[in-house]
Amino acid sequence: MSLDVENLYRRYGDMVLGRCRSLLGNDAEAQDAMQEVFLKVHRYQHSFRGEASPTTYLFKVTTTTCLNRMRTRRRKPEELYDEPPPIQVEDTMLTSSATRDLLNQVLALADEGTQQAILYHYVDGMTHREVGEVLGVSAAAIRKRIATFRNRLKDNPPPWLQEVDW
Amino acid sequence: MSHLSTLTLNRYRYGELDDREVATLRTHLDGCDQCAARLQAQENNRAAFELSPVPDFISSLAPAEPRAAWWSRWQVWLAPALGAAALVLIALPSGTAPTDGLKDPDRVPPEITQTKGAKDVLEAWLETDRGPRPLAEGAEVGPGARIQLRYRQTAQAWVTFAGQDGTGTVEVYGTFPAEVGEQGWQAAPFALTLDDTAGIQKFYAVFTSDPPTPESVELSLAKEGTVPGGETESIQLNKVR
Repeated sequence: MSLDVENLYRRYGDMVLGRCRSLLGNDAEAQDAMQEVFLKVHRYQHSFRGEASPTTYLFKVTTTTCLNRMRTRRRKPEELYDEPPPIQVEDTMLTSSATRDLLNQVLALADEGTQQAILYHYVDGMTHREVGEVLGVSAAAIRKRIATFRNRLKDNPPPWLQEVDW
Repeated sequence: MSHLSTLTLNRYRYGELDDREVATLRTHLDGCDQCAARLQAQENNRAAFELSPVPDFISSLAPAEPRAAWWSRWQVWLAPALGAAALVLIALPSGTAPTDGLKDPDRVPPEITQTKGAKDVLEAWLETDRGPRPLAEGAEVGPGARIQLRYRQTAQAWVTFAGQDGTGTVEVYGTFPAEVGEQGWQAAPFALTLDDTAGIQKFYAVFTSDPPTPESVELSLAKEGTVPGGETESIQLNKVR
């Protein structure tokens, strides 16, 4: 029996698309990324079936997909989509411009594991424990990764880093 | 102050929190305008999302049981895969049935019941009144011929289909997860109808571990006839008037 991707889309598509828009800041690329997410779910549906929380699974896959796309942007700037109109994202902890700045900083300064941890913590407002649960590592490990990242920015801390404290 | 995470708000909307978590969340929302506004933003997005139609590619990923006639399944993919480009290959108009002999689903053969040879990875099949038949390398085909591409599973996760006409112009039709089909073969999720120009027509299947960009595939195939880092298979037909 195949996974009913269309039903999954109808139920969770708003979260996936909204997440893509939040992180990519570009409607056209967000639509492509959303397609990629559901293709992955379709392809790896056996791993999806084992998930207790479809929301958490899709949230993780969407985040990973968007970060991969942003890394590609950095490596291949010639493949950039047209300059997007600013998207106002309202369900994250940071403003759209602060999210853009954070992503630029984190992609330049951190390894892939830390990139996700920073994103979940600062953009999504997850505690260290929640980030650890999503990534499958301890809260202490997340705390250390975030502290290392903050330390790298200490000489010239961006405004969003000074404003947030959670 | 600890806020509610974006994920927690989503899980609340989708009914994944237990009673205790819901009670804690609601208490927090009562006292936190910021989180209440973030939840409202998600609900607004949901309302807007429900007004938009389901994209064709999503419908195409839906379970295929009971299976529709093979030609109608392909047509679901035609719009996203081929776009509106009017190059050598022309998409079937939506809802157009194939040749008369295939209108009756009972006469349609199973999707993959045979292959023409174990050595090939990419095959082109021609739709005929008596069902699809394989085309040999260099086979002559006329205008209006409906072509189905079939591929054999490789170790790569993605397959990109492309075509190249006699002028050397390459067009990428789409990139799809490389599925395992019956007998290890799978049909491309679209069909193609040839136009009335004469000359060679080459088809490519490029197997890669990650989905490539259409631009990179077009450039590589136009220059080298292959895509670096991938496995490129091709078959060439001869279009006649």
